[in-house]
Amino acid sequence: MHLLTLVLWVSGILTLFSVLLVAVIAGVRSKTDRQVRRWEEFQGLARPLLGRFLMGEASLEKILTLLGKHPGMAAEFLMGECSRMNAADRSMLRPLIEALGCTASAEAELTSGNRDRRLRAAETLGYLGTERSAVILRTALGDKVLGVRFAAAEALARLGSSQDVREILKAIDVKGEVSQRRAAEVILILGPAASEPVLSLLTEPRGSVNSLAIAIRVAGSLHLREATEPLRHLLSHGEVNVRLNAVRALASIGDPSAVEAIAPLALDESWEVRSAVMQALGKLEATGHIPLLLRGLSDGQWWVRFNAARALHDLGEAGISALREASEHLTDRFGRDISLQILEEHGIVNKTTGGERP
Amino acid sequence: MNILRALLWFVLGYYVILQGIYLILLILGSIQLRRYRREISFDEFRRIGDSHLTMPVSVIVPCYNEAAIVCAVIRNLLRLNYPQFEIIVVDDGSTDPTMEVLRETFILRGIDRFGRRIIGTKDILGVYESPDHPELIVVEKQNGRRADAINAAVTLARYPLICVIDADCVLEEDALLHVARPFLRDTSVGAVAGVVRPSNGVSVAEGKILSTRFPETLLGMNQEIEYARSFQWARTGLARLQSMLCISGALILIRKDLFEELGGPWADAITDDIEFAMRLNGLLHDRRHPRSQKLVFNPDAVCYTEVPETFGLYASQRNRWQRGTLQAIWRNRGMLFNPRYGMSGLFGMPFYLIFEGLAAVVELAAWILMAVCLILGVAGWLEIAAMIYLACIAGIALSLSAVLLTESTRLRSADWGDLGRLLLAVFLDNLGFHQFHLLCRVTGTVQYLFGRRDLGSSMTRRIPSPQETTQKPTHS
Repeated sequence: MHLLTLVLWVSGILTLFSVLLVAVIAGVRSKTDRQVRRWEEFQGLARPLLGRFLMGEASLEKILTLLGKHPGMAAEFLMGECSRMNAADRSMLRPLIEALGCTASAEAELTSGNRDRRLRAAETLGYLGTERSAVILRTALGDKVLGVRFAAAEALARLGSSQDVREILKAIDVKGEVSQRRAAEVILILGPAASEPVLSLLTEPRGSVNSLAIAIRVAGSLHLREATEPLRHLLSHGEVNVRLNAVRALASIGDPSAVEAIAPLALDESWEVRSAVMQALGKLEATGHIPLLLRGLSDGQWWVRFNAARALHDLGEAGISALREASEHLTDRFGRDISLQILEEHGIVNKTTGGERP
Repeated sequence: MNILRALLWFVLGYYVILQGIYLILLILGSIQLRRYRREISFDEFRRIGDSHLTMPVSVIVPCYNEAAIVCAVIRNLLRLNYPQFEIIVVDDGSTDPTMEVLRETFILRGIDRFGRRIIGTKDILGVYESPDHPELIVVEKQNGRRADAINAAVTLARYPLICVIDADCVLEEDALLHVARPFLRDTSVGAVAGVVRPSNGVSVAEGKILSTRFPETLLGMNQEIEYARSFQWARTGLARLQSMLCISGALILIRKDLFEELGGPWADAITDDIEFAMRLNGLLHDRRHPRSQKLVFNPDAVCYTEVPETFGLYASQRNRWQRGTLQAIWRNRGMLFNPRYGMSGLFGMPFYLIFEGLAAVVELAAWILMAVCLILGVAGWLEIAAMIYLACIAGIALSLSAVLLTESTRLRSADWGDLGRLLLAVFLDNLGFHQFHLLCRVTGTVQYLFGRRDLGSSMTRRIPSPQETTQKPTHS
């Protein structure tokens, strides 16, 4: 093809495309502006009315009339309001939500073939769901997409369905630190209501190792003193992750009687467990185990040495004096270094110049 | 004559391939943006913010002669909505009163703070804390360029995630939540880069962003479009192709262990962020040592940075970027066309060399070629004019696509006035601005070849105050 013809053709197409783009940009802008304006107007009317409804000053019919005119915006508005309320206050909105029928479409979408729709539906039901929604959310716990299972688990937790803890854990049986943190957080939405099912899980660990690790995390976060005994037994579990979480949970619960059970794990093959043990001994004020902490100062792993030194400092006068002694007389150079570092950080020994480690 | 004609076809071919790649990036970028928007669950960022399990972050701010703005930047950072973070401000041997201003404003007192020194840096002269803001740490050190300052701060950082930002940056309150989100969703994420936009029209008071308007000058608007093109679809698309070899140092969040494994940014680099990003890609995609970590671009984590609005400063900045790009490519040349680095080696690096590093030289050569063809009668006026028009209209179409993508996000223009000025700037880009940019880059290339490695002149920074910009509502 002739060069000029080719260039002119392409230029012509691009010119038309550019003109079209300008028109589309203007259209998008105009549409967005309209949507923002409508949303702001809607919120301006709905929020004070909802406030009056919750205080019993406005009737259900009155607010239904307003919200019923814009069902899409009403559902989004109610989601926003519900997310700022606790479960008890949310229950006050139940009659309104049921009358509006917000949940019906979400319940239907939970079985949709589209992953994103199922995800959104599960989220919606977490805030706007009723007891009936819990049934369908339980089915969604078996969804093939992990994200949807997580959303369904979260929704069930938000609805206060504590009897489903085992099923929830089964549905979000995930590996890895961050994923397990997220899973633990889902159960923690239930608050103290999760205590009993979590305790029963720890006493009779029938699920996978991942579920067990997540349950241990929850027990620690809820500071469940009743979990101390089952957690002690789990310290001898074959899985590193279970032992690690059990040590952390016991430290978090803060029962000093757990010290004797934790101490032997200072020699665990996993440095992460050893490091957690050092932290736990500090938290549980295990003054009787100073020799074990001093031994941790010479561990091959920096984190173990660091946590051992910090734990000694946390023990108060006895620990600090041991740390002082270690900083001067310990045969291991790394142990001396870390002891001195912690003492300097807390202003116990004189400041050295510069940023270099001594 | 036939050779000249063939060269004209070559230039056209080069241009078609470049625009073709941009088109692919545009499509990939829009798909990724759409996917990202669908992924965000209801109230997700509030939940991340409320969660005590969110990974803590050390925010590092390297400063050099930033006395005028450093306090405003810190105030902005202190407002960040994030469960647990520390701010480490490093004064890299400033010759202006940066340290004095910091001491006075935040009532600093000296402390002993140490960390594992894995990366060597210039000497640290002192570490300070503020009694009013326990999350703030100030480090005073000998001058050693931006990269050295960052490396020194990492030594003292306590948290597993490191966020590096520039000293002239203004962050949105939720920026850290946005940029940290990928780490919470996917354990294999090693680093996340965010969006950078010009701050020249942004109004800030007491560290809070009041409005986000566009720059006043045409040169500023021109850069607004350039940033939109670069961040709205180019980086999103490049990240999808494992080829995001240029990450702005203005906003990056990276695992501390990965940062240390890489040895931090190279202290002698002209543009340490570009060089660091290339090395990071090399480490993550090296098939000899496969690892499951990845580099992610987040199109919703926004940081505002000041762009030059005078031609002198603009020329200096672009000259430095050009030299920095060439230096980074040369230093990481082992990755070029190397299948060992997957898409980074086979597509990313060649793309950066051919269409970024050498683009200015090729374009200048094309202008000269067209002039020669015209003089020798190899091509007519109409042919040359049509080719120039094609180049312009293709650029306009791509810029308009970037504007469209931006308008469909929360980062859209504040009002119709700003949008109109943006569209005007798109059409005026080729009436001198583009050519000036080309000249800066060609000069940079020549100076790089002649051994120039300095950082050029620096800008006098300023954080826009509400008095300086007209008060209009934020478009959030």
